[in-house]
Amino acid sequence: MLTYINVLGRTIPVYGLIGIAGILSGGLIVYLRSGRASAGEDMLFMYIYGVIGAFAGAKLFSLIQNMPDIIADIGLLFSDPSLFAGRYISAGLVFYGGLAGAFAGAFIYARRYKVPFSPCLAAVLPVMPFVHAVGRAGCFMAGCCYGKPTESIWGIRGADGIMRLPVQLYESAVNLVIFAVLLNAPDKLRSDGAALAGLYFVMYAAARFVLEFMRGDTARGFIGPLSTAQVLSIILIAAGIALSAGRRKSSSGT
Amino acid sequence: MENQNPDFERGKSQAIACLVLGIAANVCWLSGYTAIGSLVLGIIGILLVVNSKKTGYSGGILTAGFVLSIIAIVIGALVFIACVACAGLFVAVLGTLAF
Repeated sequence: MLTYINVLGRTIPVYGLIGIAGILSGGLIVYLRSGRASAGEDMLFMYIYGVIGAFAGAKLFSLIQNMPDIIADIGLLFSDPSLFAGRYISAGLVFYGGLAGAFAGAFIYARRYKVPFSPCLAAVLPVMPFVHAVGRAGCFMAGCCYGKPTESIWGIRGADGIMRLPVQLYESAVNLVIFAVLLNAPDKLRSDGAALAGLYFVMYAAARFVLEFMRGDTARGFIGPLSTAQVLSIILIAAGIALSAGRRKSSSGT
Repeated sequence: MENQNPDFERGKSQAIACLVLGIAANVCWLSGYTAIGSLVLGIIGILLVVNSKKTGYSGGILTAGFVLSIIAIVIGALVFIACVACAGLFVAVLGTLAF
């Protein structure tokens, strides 16, 4: 595990470094794929809007999740703004917020420039699990979003010296499988953004629901016995099934 | 002959604005927490690039603005983004060391 590296006297978080690498490689994949598509430029621009939306959404969800702490620490904003910024502005991104933000960003782009949303989304969407997989590798390096303590051979010593399940790497692997499935989906599905999004939602949310049982960090929030992410996973699975069923009904109706 | 299309002229103005923002954004990451300025200005710069390109304008100013905005966002984000659990863990490790 390597939380920070020192570059020219500056301390750089490895999490951010790997996250940026993931976003840039995602952009490269979209660029390479866009060369073969008629709406090539729109794919790249939609990806950029999606990334901006993802960051805004991930940050917004994180702020909402930490709202009680922020209200309690509001005095810091005036007495020590740099500590406040370090604690709440520079730290904390929530994936499900990023997912909602990415879709909102892509939709805003399509509306603003009158681009057909569904086919363009279908071309850009497979990159999302790829970027997420790289980001989770960043979590592993930083030692955040860690798994439960374990005595099994699967355990890896965390930044706190405890042997833990490398749940971040499991999620990375799951995301890479989803990326491969979305890239190799049947042609009919690959040109339909809503159907492809439905498939992605169901696959990712189901995997995340299970993986949450292996996580050991308490900072993610709970609603009853389930974590916030598990509750959102159930909603996302329902949304994914509804999207896929809706597309099937409309395609059989035409 | 110079293109007098109003959309094209608007695109050119946006490309110049993007270049200026790109330069300003790269100044922001030079000192600590002002790196958030790099992110904000860089993102505005990128949005201007997309808008400018959509008007049909393409040229060196636009490319330079795009590259500067990307550099500002990347470096600004590197300085500024860390995950909350990572910060929590860092504090926890410091606490362990203290005792």
